[in-house]
Amino acid sequence: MTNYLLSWLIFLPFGAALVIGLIPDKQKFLIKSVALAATICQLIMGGLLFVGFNGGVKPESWATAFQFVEHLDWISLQLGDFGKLQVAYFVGVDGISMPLIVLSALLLVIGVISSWTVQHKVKGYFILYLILSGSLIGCFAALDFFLFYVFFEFMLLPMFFLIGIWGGPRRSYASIKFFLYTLLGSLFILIVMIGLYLSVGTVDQFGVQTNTFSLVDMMSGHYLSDTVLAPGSEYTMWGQSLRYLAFVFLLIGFAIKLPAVPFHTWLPDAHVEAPTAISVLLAGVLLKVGGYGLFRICYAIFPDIAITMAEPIAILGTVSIIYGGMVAMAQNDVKKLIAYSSVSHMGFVLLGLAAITAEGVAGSLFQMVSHGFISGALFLIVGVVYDRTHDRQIENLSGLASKMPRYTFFVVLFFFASLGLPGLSGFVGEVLVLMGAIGAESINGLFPRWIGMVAVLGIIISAGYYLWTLQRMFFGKYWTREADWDARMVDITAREWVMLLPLAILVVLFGVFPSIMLDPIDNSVRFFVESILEQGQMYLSK
Amino acid sequence: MVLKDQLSHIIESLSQVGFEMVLIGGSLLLLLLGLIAKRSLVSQIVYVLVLVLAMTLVPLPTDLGVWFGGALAVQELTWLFRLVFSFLGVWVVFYPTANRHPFEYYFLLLAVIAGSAFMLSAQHLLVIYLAIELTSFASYLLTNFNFEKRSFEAGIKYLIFGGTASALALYGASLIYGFTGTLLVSEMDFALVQNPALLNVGLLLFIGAMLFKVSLVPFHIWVPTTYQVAPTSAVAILSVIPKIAGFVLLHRVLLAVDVHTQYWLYVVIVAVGMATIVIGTLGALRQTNIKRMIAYGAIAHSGFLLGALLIPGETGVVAFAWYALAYGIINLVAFYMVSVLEDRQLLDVKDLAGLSRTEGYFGGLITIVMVALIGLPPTVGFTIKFYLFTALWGWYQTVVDPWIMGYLVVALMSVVFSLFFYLKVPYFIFLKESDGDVQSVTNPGQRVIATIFTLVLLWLFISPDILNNIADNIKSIAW
Repeated sequence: MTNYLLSWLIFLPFGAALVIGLIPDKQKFLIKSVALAATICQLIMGGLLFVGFNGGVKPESWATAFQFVEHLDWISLQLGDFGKLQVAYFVGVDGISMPLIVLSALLLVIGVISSWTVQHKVKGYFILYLILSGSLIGCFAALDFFLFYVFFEFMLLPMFFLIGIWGGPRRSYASIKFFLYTLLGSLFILIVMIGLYLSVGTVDQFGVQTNTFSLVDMMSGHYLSDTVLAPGSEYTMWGQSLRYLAFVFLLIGFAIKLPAVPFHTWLPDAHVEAPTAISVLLAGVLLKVGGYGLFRICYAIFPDIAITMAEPIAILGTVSIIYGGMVAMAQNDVKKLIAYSSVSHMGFVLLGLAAITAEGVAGSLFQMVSHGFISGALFLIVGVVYDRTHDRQIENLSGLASKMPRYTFFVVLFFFASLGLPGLSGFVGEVLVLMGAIGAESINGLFPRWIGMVAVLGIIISAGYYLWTLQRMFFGKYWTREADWDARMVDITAREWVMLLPLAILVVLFGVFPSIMLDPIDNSVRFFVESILEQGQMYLSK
Repeated sequence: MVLKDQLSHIIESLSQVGFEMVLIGGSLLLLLLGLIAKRSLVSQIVYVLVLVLAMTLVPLPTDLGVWFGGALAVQELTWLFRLVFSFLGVWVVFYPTANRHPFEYYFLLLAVIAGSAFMLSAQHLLVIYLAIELTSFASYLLTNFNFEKRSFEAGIKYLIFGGTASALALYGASLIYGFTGTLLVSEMDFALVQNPALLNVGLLLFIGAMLFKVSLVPFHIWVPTTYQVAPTSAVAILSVIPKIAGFVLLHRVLLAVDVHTQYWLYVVIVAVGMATIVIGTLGALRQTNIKRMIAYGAIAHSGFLLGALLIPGETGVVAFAWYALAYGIINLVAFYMVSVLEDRQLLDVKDLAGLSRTEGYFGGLITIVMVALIGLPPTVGFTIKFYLFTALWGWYQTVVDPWIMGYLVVALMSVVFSLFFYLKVPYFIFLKESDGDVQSVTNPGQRVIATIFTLVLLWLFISPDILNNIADNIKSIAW
């Protein structure tokens, strides 16, 4: 089983989707149970992955950096004068992808529980949900660029329908905007993928050239000589080297997904309209695909440009942090507020990565996982209010603490986790990122200290909007705008407990013992940082 | 003695055009049968039998050559597309289009296929002209086959445009003949001619006739109206078979002219291709009639096909062959879905609102077809676009010509825009609610056929071995 663990993780949901396709529409409970069983199996396998992952050895090269590797030739097309187009089913994990897969597996279960209330077109919903879940894991596990891209695109269509059919009033606008933005980004990625494919490969002793999509070869820098994207190549366009342009294209492609300011405008719309479970997945996992792409593809393949571009990227991250926070403060809709706070928190991912120090990169990864827990929980929290009132405006409710004390407890916990209270997981990620960002000047001199210092303001801003929201909605005298809401304002139900409690425990656990995650990934992160700095300098000197 | 040689050459040559002869003979047989037989089933059976028989008579790719004193050049692409044409043609009988004169209808379809098959091998200016005219005349009639006022308008429009294009082509051909002194494209030597200005005019006029057939800008204006009013099963043929044939012919002429040494012509072709993609895509954005929308999409696809021909050598031909084959299959499937909808008078996307309540499964299949038309995984639409982009990038890497990069960028952008209009169909089916009652559209048989069609699109993505076999067979093409 452990030999094919990743394949099971990826294809079990697809199989479950097929099974659901055969169940008659009327058997709603059966459909939901199959989906739940499939995701629980995924979670168990995610647990096996976490336990089985060996983080004790520091890899020596990218070729040995991956575990649970599976390799199978898949598509092989004649490519005329350019040899053969070889696509492999090539999956594996290292310390960067492993936590994200485990996080996805967890949130996928919670998403199914949260979807239990779906009454309308249940069959279609869960089929799409399972397709989405398989593609997500596939995206994190793929070590072949083509495979990654296929899974990346494959997430779009289910997401489009999940938002577009089961979403809120402006769902069609939001779903199309989401699709167009992400597709635009993915075409930027596609064009770089083609360029990389034509530039990377091996030449055997007979002079036969084999190009490859393998990300491992791309990260190891097996460039063919005289190709456009090889380091030191003299090809230019618009006065810039093609390597530089390729990096910028990838950065835009993944920054749309992340999202970073100014490519973020699809996110609030998508979140506001999406059903609760889909918001949880969107914020908790889908955004991380953007972050993961930056790690695995943007940075690991173009380390030289990553070094030269460190300062603009760090500034982009800081702008996201501050701007996202400021906009969040101005929101009246709680869901929109959390959506903008996501933009702000994903800015930390960008900032930590830009520093290319062990603290920054580890913090950036930690922030992704912790934001997965927290934002997932925050959207569930909004779902609790929305289920009862079908309204999310802050000004329409106040003093909920007296009426729903247990609910308020969770709200306070997750708000504080999100604003970075020490002892909760959000703090660890942000502090590590800031350490990395402020320390970068003295460690590798990539960008000046003030950028990190400005980013600290982001924490204060987030404290501002969370506390203000708490004060307006939860404290003070109990009041609801509509009188008939009153009867429905009951404290959280058993189903909501099941969803919120695990996340609460994890947020505290990761806050108190961050080493649960930091220890297994430590060697991978160190190797990642060292190889980027070393390779980057080597490429730059060409 | 000479006469005897010539006779034996002609007899030998005749064996090479068995495919075309069966098609023509079969079409005439259909016309005669129409006088005595009453049931339309007979016409369908004969039509299929003719195509199957023709398919068995296609000479093997090992058996190629030049026949009829150079008038016909049977090449690898000829072999491939003879097979593809007869294969694609068969599926049309499954379309639920009712028509009043089935024998005449299938007679015309066979005439279109026969004309297109001649275009695949013609390299004599007059044979080229006749092949184009044979295809065109049958197409004009097919456009009118719904016998509505609207379709007569479109048919006449098509006829006038087509007539003008072919008159100009004839004039161009006479100029080319006057300058080069030969009617055989393969023997023309454009480099030797002293004063080529008028020759270039002739060349442009002659190429214009082919641009008309393959619906490239600025000869695309007839496409949307024609596709909209013609019977859908005829559109499925017209949008694929004469188009591919026209491209093969265009390719042969461009090779003879040696387009890479005539830079001005090269730039004209590139500009035409880019304009085609842009206009096709932008035109489709505003459409709400599904047939019209796919028609504009088909114009944009012509631009993609032309892009493949810009790449010289094996890579370009393989990219073209795959794109043409996959485009043919996708279009056939797409128009099948359209014909099923049309059968229930659902032709505007707004009519599809709320269809998912009764036709969730069929709607899902339509979504997959639309995804294939956009060119996203997991369909063969992605494979061919991806391959084309890779080939274009590789060619750019070789020549570092900004026109090629521009072409690539325009093509990529068109994918984003095409998402917007193709997605309208699933958007209305699944996301919109209808005010009134929604009828069911399909019967089980249609769902089975649609499923098979759709699975082909997915299967070719997952396991594209058949594409490799094709590439192997056309690799040896002479350059």
